[in-house]
Amino acid sequence: MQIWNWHGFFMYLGSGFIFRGALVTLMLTVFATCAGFVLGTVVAVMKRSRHKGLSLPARFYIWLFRGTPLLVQLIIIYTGLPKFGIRLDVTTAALIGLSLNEAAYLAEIIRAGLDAVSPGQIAAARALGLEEGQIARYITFPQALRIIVPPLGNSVNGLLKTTSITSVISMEELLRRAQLLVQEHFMVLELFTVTAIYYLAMTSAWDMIQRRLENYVNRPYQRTATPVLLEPEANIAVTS
Amino acid sequence: MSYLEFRNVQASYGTNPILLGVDLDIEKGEIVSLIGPSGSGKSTMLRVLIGLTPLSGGEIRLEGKPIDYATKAGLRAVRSRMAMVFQSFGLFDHLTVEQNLLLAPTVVGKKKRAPLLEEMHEVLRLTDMQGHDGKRPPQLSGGQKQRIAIARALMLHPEILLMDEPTSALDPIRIAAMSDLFGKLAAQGVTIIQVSHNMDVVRSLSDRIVLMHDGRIAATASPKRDQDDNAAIARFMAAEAHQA
Ligand SMILES: Nc1ncnc2c1ncn2[C@@H]1O[C@H](COP(=O)(O)OP(=O)(O)OP(=O)(O)O)[C@@H](O)[C@H]1O
Ligand SMILES: [Mg+2]
Repeated sequence: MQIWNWHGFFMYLGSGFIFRGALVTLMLTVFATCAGFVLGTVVAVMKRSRHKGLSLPARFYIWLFRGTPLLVQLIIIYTGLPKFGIRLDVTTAALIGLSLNEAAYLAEIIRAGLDAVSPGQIAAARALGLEEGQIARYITFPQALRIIVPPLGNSVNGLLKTTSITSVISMEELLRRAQLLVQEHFMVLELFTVTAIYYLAMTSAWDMIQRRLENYVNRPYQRTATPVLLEPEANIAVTS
Repeated sequence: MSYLEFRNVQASYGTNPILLGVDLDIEKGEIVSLIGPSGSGKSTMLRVLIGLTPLSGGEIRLEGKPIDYATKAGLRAVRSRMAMVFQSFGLFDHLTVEQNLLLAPTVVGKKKRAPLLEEMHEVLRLTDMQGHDGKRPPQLSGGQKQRIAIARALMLHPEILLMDEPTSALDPIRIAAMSDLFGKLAAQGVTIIQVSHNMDVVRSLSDRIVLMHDGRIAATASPKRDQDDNAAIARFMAAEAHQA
């Protein structure tokens, strides 16, 4: 038996089956990040609220989803919910599970970002006559984003790999498809090397995007900052 | 009827009572200086007036009408007539000086940018901060930040200007220049309520000095009219001047 089969390696590298699995991994990651960010923002804002009716449910949510393994959450969503008459296909269950889980982690990251904006700036903004929505838009969020983006990047990198856990409910993402192919020719090393290359390609691509994001949110802090924030708004103000 | 009337004004943080019933009448164009020991409620007076800290009793009347702090419209109305310079400046760190100065006039005041830029340069000249419009607050010295905070308030053309220790970070020459500016604003009818620990500024600038103690007004004096300052105020000012 050969140690390494180059023919098999290139066959898997060019495999459309594996490539489409990687696309599924990518899709799961992008969706769960976006949905998790939106839901995480809501949970973070709720958790910071002075009203117990808002902050307690948010605390409970974070406690629950960070305190249990994603694997368990996925199995409960996929096999448990049908017992209550909620039937989900594999993809929907995977998307929901990943998004709910990601939201809990992102909520803590976003909350830390929002907390980093000094109360003095919020008071000053109120005194200037800005309303709460305007304060969030012009003061809190732009400053919070700068704090949020680096840990958000780590979270997305982790999520790219964590999506492989959805294979337990037979979601056909990259890892699951590799496992399926193993049974065909038993070229385990070649196949999983290809799988590793796909993950590396995706995490490397994300690293590049993250660097750009960081530059973008840091742009107001660079020395030669050009006024970017007020220009379009001033135009809106003129026409309204 | 006075221009601005505090009637038995009370305020508390949580269950901690801070203002215990303040009565004060202020006339239009007056410069009123709040003095008193640390924690006596001077900053809270300003915060209550601009609606950042809620009243727990009493009322404040502006031109005879009670200010309505409970509704959005009421708050908007009162804040559109006042501006505040904060003890810790409250500048927006992620925005340039220009953006700090133009944010409220464009977003709240819905004014056009081009004429505002002209105004901004004028205000920066008045505060001796011309040429700094592209910088962000973290790149400024303490005294420069303070003058930008004053400039930002001036951009609002307030009828009532609230300033919490507005010269605390300034050098003597800048203090004199700013005092001069405040005097001119008052002469144009702007009512100024300032908190200050600088007794020279207080003495030379104030139409009225209000000594706060433990959430109450302990004494008032009008240095420009009365020859003999109120004894309690004279004592406090002498002690403060001695400290400085
Ligand atoms: N956000 C807050 N929460 C709770 N207590 C507060 C808060 N802000 C002020 N206080 C309390 O209210 C009291 C009055 O505070 P205030 O800031 O009005 O004092 P001050 O006269 O301005 O003092 P200083 O000269 O030190 O600025 C103090 O005892 C202070 O501890
Ligand atoms: Mg104070």
